[in-house]
Amino acid sequence: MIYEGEQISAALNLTTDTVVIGSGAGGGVSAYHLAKAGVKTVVLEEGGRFQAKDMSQREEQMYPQLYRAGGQQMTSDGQINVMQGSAFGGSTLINAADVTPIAPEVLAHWQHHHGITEITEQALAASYKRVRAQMGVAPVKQNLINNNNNLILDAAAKQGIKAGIFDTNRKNCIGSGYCMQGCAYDAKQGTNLSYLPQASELGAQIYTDVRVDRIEKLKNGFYKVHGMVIERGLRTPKYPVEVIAKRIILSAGAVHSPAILKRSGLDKGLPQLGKNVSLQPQMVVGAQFEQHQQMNSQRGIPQSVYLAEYDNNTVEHGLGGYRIEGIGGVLANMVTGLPGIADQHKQLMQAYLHTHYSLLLIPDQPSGEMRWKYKENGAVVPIIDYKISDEWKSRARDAVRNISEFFFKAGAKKVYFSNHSFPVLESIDDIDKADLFEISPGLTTLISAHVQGTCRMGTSAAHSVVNQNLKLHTDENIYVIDASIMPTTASTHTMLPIMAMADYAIHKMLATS
Amino acid sequence: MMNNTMQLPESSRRIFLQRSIQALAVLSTAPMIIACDSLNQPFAVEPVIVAAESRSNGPLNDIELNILSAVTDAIIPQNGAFKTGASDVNLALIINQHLAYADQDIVTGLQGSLAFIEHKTTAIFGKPDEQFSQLSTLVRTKILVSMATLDGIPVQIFIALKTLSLFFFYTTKACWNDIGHQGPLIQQQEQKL
Repeated sequence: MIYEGEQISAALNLTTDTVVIGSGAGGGVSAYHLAKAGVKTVVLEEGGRFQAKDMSQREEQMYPQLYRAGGQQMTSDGQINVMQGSAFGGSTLINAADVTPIAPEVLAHWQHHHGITEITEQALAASYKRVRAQMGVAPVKQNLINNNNNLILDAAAKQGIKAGIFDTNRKNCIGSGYCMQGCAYDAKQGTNLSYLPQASELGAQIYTDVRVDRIEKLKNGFYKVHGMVIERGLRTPKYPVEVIAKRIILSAGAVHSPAILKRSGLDKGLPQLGKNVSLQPQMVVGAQFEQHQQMNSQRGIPQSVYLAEYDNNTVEHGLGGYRIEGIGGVLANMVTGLPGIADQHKQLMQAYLHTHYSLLLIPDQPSGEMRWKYKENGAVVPIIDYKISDEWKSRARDAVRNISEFFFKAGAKKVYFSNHSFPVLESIDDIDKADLFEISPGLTTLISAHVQGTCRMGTSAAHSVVNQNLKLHTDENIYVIDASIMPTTASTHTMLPIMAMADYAIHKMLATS
Repeated sequence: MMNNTMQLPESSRRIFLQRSIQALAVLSTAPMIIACDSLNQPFAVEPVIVAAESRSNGPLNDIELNILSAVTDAIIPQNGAFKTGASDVNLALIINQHLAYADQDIVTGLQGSLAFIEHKTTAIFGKPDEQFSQLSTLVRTKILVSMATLDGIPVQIFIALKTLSLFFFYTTKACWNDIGHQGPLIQQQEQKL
């Protein structure tokens, strides 16, 4: 059964085998396989359940409903907008539906630098296969690749550089272009469609609009999860929730999973909890072409093509380099960081239809740390302290130069970035201005869609939070299964890595318990 | 189709205020702005841009709305590369409506920023006896552009207000026609039915 908060009219007291906290990539997959194995499972999701009929394709309406903190979650210096889904299906409801595995170099990096010897491509192979089948993963269909994305493919081919088409978890997509505001056509196969309903049919009890605050360890070895039924929208608490269970699967995401552990006093002996934050920051790139070169970035699959020429993944540092990926369908959000105001801005936007838009994605090394405050109503207020490294800034300037050159060679008349102080580049002769590209709070508008690392996996409690079974080093029956377990950023898109790790960990747990 | 959003409780229409507002909330405690304390001072010029009855229950008063209108109009003036400007869509009112669901510290931050804009920026740019909202659109735009070149609070306020203005402006249908944006497919499908 799936129970929504508005259906609950009194305090909830439940007993179960396993509680799954969160219903996104980690929680959804975990709940399904537990239920399938006959384990009595309760899923608690803080966000609401929204279905295709609820998706208005209006940014000002959907961000507040589907995103963590209404889309306002920021690093403490205000520089990076950390986007996370917070609804039935978690971020799989609002992501770009790009399916990318963990790069082999990343797994090798984890092995050599973090002692992760068990999570190998071979070990994950069966999980990848199951996840891809469950979500119906296939390459993006050619007819859904718009001109905005095709431009990358065509220009890369002409310039003899590497680009590719994403795999995606969409079925019967009509290319409306509004994926990031929740799919209004049930095409995107997030856990809201591909795992949770099936888990429910197999007996899992799923509760939405239930915020988990802490986990109490009982003397008999069981756990009591304390939470609140909350009102959708402002998320004010309504009724207390208590669930007694033998096992906890924490899948609340890289911001809130460590917060729950900390608040529960389960951080003792885990000095890395909340540390090692990776954000993989991104910025918008605009490349203006001749008027007849219509990009149609607003329709088709917004993000279907990537430029891989500047990927630099190595055993030494894991994911590196940078890449661009087409983007669209987020007009209001996208334009806010573009340069200029008044007529300078209007001139750029007048060329909207013949401007190519991409996101420049630059993987990072763990550079942040979490802190938490609590509101009077019990809700946690996460504080993400994140410092952009000089190495990242240097790579960003290199990216500005090379990506600008790429677009000018493709015929662009202007190239610009989401930087309030950096000028619009008018020709290939301007690309040396990349050396002046300033990256500081306020001036550069950055977005993160892949926060990771706050409960990282490793071999000891001194250096990590969970072991290679994704179990806390300090507790036998608490698992963390979400983006927080990644020792370094796993992939340019983290949905598939999280889901594969969830599938792997749950199957291993079931086989040994 | 598409009816649930309309039936959601009003509280769920919580404002999306983006990174700009986060910055504004921080700014609310900035000494420079607190020192300004202009919101309690009488204004020399009666606000004329926004009528009181059209405030739509947002937290900003007429004076603050007038300043916000002066800011949004300078960021997105009418005409130029395309016709529609902030004043055509009553952008300040739209923002004020969304602010009805914002935390108080965010509102306080915005109020402080508006006071700073109104009373401090003119002095910084050599017009100490004037108020921002009294100036022509062109001069207001020039002041805002100049703020973007400064460090510290002025540039943070500029970027916060720019972000706020642009986000909500580009959620309005009026500007979509100007730039060729088709808007939600779902509405077009419904219109055909």
